[in-house]
Amino acid sequence: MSARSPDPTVNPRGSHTRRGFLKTSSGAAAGVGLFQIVEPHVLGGPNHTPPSETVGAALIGNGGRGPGTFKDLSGKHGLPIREIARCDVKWVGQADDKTRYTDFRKLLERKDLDVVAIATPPHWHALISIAAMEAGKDVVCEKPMTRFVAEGRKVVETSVRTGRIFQIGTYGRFGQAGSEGKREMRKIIRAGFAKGREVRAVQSGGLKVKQWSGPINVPPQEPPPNLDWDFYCGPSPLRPYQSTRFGGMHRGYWDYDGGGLGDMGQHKLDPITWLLGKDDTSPVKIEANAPPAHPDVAGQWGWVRLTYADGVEIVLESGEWGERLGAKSSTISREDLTEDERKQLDALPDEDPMIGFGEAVKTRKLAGGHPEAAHRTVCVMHLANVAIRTGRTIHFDPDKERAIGDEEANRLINQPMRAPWHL
Amino acid sequence: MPDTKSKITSWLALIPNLEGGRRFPGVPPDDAAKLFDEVLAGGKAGIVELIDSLQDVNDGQDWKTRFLLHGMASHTGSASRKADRAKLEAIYAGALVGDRSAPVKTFLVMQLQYFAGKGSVGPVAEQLRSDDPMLIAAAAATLTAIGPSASKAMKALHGKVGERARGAIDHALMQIARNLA
Repeated sequence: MSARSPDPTVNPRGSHTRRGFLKTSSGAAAGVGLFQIVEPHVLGGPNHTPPSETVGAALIGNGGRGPGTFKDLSGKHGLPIREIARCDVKWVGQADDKTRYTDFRKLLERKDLDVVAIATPPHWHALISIAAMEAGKDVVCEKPMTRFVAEGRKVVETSVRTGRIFQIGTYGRFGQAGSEGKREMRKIIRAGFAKGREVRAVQSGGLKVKQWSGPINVPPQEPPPNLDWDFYCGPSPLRPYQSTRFGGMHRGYWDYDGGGLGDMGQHKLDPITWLLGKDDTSPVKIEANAPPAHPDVAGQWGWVRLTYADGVEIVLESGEWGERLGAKSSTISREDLTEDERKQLDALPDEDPMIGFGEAVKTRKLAGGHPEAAHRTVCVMHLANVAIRTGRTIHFDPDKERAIGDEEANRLINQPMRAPWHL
Repeated sequence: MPDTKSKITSWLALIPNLEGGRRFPGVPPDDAAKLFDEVLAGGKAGIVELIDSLQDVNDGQDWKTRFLLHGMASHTGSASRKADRAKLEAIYAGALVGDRSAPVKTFLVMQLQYFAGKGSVGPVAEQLRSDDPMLIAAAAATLTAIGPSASKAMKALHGKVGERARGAIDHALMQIARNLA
């Protein structure tokens, strides 16, 4: 990633701000006896942030969550934003391609746009994140980061190659990192001292399994005239319109999301994968207790156990179907280590504190919820769903990011996209 | 001749009804496995009759049939069930030949996406001759999932299909190439 100049006349995209330009041009203008009139807000003053010091921002996906995600840019992330436009596929006939768009590709062409907040349904998250970063924009993307595993790797690669900042729209790890004990536990596991010891995180409940179990008997109908249904389906299969496939209940359909795990998985898992030091790897064995899946809709499940190569486990207990696994959480602390291990631990440097999206945009350093960490977290969720949908224990290669010896699982891990969309 | 209609009725009756009239219920895995094995053991005739009972409109009227056809495909996915899976693949691919409706063929093609191999390339690729956008998209997706062994058949059809299908073929070939890279 390139370093950014601290020069306030240089904006995040590297070109001169209007203030910098005005400073230069007025000197030249004075030489020929011209003057310029500028409005007060351009140069700042009480209660005015000049446009030259603001960040052009847009929202893609103006549904239930979208406005909140957009507000987070200035609230939670502290960026001095200037709203450029919003984009939504339900604005057919209402878009002016200036403040309202239906096609995110046109919006991303804007030179005055620096940051996008993405709050579409998940089947669009990866493609829009990638397109935004390719267009030179920084990204906050709602969870879940992706709809299937292969998408996430592409988002990571794009972020690294373009040098753009990406932050996933969940922040549980930031809270965890405030605890010295948890920072130490993470350090212990990352140092390799969990191997041979029982370390397990259990997420019990709160996964909205029944709430987002897709409805089966919804009659197809004509899509609303203001909704571009083909565009909405995008990379996912083209289906007859059903009202529940759009607007909230989309979570219940495999085509767009992953049921309750899709909605809550990344939220619940983000603090866990941080604590367990699993930002750069994935589980190698995934077992599920679940009934056979329906082809179209996410259904119910009981528990999923995911085991990493070092033996660390994550157990998800839905509490909404079948018998519980009944696994207990198990932590690790320096008291569990030998004297020699403690010395090795103390010799290791501590990690730098995580920074939020706003700070990352300014400094061009990785945000706490950076793509690799977010991808590895959402992979836990995706692999859980793969085990549920196939009804089999999955063995996964965390480096190649493929299932071992299970072609059906691999066809869920990397799914074809409908033309013209592709990774 | 075995009475497959009454068998189908009894198979479907073993699947619990929707919860709250709407939500897909969880069929206990052991019960489901027994049902899938029974259907498979019944042979091709019963499975074809299940396929014949699929409705064109996916409004939930035939959700149990769809669940059964999908479930059997996953059930035969383990390494020890290769022979059963091959038989099922042949039945689903074989059902693409003939004058079943586009929506029914689309459903079958989508099932094949997750487990079909090169043996299904021919029947799936033929669906690219359709003018139904959903069937074309589903066929392209399944051929993409099958991978390089589907490329030749798609290239051979390229000049013989409509514009939408040609675009889908180009897109599928591109995705196959990218997956290999």
